[in-house]
Amino acid sequence: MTWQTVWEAYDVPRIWDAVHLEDDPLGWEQVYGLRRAAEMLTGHSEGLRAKREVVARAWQGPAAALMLSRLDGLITSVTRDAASLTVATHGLHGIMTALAAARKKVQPLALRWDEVTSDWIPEFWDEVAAELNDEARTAMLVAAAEVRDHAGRLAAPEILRETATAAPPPLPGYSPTTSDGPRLAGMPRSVPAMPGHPVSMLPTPPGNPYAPAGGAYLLPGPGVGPHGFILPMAAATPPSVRHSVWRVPKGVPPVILPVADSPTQPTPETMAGFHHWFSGLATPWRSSAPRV
Amino acid sequence: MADDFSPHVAVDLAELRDVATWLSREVQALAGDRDHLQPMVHFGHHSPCGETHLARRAAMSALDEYGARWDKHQQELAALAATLDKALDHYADSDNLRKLDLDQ
Repeated sequence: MTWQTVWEAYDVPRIWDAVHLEDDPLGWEQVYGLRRAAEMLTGHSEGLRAKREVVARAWQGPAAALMLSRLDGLITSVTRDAASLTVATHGLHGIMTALAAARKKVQPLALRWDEVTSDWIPEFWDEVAAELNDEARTAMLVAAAEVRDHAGRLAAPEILRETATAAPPPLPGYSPTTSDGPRLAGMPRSVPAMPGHPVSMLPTPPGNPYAPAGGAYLLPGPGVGPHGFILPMAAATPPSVRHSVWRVPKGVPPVILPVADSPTQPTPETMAGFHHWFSGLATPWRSSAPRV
Repeated sequence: MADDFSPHVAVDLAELRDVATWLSREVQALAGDRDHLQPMVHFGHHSPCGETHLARRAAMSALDEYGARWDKHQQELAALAATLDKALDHYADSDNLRKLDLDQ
């Protein structure tokens, strides 16, 4: 029993967080180790069969009959387990492949997400973000369908063990599942559209003409409203950690120049400060999760 | 008449000894590959996806179950190897006693 995930409750950064640790080398090592184990078990069952014939030929008597009977029972169970472990290994390989493919599809979308406000004029930000979200959500739907198919080959026994997960939270105001059934362990919970819960947003790094000091473009949706807006970094940064650098031309009366005429190259320190600020604002859950 | 109640027994000790040695080697081989069945899952740890969550649980349970079965096979195989060794020892002892009887 499980739930149906509503991927509209997740934007590109959240989906990237959900898949960025997939394609884990340890996972592939496990797949190849299981394949070796399944091959070993298959060879073992064939060896048992051959030795059973040797015993039948070399030993006749009441005790031999008992030994052959026990060997037959062992051969039956080992052969059955070798076959099902082989199938399960293929299933695990399929799951790993599906999730690795999703990661590969989402990674460039996550990179493009961070460039939207630099590569496009504001009129297109919502549209481009929506397109990126659609692509990422489609990738997850495809992966989920493949995972479901392959999981059926794992020959899961009746008792399922709980496994801990650290999934990103859904977007505020969206239900992340369609299940009307009981609350299941590990099932994502809805996040209310209230202050303190990060909404979907695009980074506008320092130097961006629409937020020269850096900021975040909050995409339209629950908690934001029908229109997005820019939250400048200075407005949201506590005074104690504000690092603004103003370049003033010497010998020229102070004037306010058009933004496009005064491009500034942010320093590495400024960019590092921006990334720190933005990640704390947009993806605070990442600070408590392992990253790669 | 006593022969009517005595079962026919024929044993090739050398061939059975080879089988017993092979069984013992297989017990060791099974122990060596047991680590691959550790119930650990290396996918979907951060996923909110219901299907992936179910797959994680299924994989964990399957690994757990296969590990238990692997252990059971290993124990059964070790028991068979020990039983065969014991039977071979008995046959060898019996043969030696007969030899002593004949020597006297």
